[in-house]
Amino acid sequence: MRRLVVLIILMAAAAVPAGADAALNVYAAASLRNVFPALDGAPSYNFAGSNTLQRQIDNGAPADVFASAEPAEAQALFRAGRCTRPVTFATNILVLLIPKDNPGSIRSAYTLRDGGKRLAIGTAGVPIGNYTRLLLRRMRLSSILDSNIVSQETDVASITAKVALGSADAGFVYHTDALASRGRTSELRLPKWAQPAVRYKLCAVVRTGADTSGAQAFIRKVSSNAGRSALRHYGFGLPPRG
Amino acid sequence: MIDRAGFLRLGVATVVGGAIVPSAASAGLPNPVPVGDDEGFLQFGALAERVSLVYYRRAVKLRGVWSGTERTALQAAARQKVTHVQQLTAALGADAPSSDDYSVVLPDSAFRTRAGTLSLGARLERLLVGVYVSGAGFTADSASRLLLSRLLANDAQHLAALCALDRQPMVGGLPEPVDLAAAGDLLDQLLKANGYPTT
Repeated sequence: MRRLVVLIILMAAAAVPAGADAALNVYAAASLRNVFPALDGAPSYNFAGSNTLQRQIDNGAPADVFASAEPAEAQALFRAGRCTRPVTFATNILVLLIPKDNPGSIRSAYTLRDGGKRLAIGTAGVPIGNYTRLLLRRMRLSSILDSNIVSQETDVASITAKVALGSADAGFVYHTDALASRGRTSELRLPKWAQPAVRYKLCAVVRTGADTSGAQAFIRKVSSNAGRSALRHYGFGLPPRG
Repeated sequence: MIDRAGFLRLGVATVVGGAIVPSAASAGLPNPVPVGDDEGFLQFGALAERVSLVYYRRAVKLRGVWSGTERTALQAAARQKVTHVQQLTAALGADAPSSDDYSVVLPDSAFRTRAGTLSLGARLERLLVGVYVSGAGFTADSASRLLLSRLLANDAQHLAALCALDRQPMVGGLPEPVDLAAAGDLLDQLLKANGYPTT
């Protein structure tokens, strides 16, 4: 009898879908790399540029949740039936990050018109790269991409690291990245009127075997009071409650 | 020969009568396709015109300050500002600022007196005209340039009308071009960006 009970337990365990007790897979924009683990340490995180993550999900990567730094990637997956309707859960602004000792003597973004500085920006196609180019067009500063020595990075974490290590005189990053590296860097604010609307989107990935209930629970957690409080603590802006 | 009083009356009558320069929307403008940094002037205009619209709507509501003709002039200006915002928003397309991205914050103190109200309005119009003067000279796309030039002509009329209401003659032709960086600093003081981080 005891053998039968053990056998039933073993069969029941085997019947549980694969991955049900595996960690939730959260694919998130690199700028969320500090706040998400602080809010929920349980999931397995994959942080990268939102466009890279979108491509991975499109190619069948085992993501359960997708959090992008601009609406386009999540909306594209939603339109393709690959994720639920995206919700806005945070906002951000762009700042100009400089090393603490400011070797380039940069006082504002307009200083970069002088040229000859080492500048780190996001590649076109990555949200931080798209937002930076829009901001520069609005400020009529696109020419600084020609007059300075520009390195193009695939995510905002790499730009922050370059500036913090002194490999770049300045870089365009999110305010939240500047806060996270403030021991080694300083941020220069950019004009409000020229700021792009940085909106973070969150959705549950639709695929066979996805942990849908886990994904919905994670989305609820991010949108909860505790989630909003954590986002605010890490420097994000918050959208009005939906 | 027109005397100064006649000139001032003409300024107000121009705005009341719908302006000498027709609204660009009704003039069949080609569609602007901003090239590169052209967006700077259009973006600035879209936000500054919205600030100006809020100004006129608030000014109209002041009691015991305006004559009937003056109130009608301010209402007409507000209607034209709506058109300006629509035109600039259309020109910017997907990059246009959305109405919930920003709130307009005008200083209450400016609306306590007629002179203060007119002074704030003239400051806004002078800023717009100055940026449009720059834009008309440095915009690459010809349709965007044409749009900015039309807006320049229209806002110069508003500026003249506000100066007229304040018994201040507008001398010296168009205001000087205003650098976008300096203009942006002034505009920022009147904008609150919604969803801005607080830490």
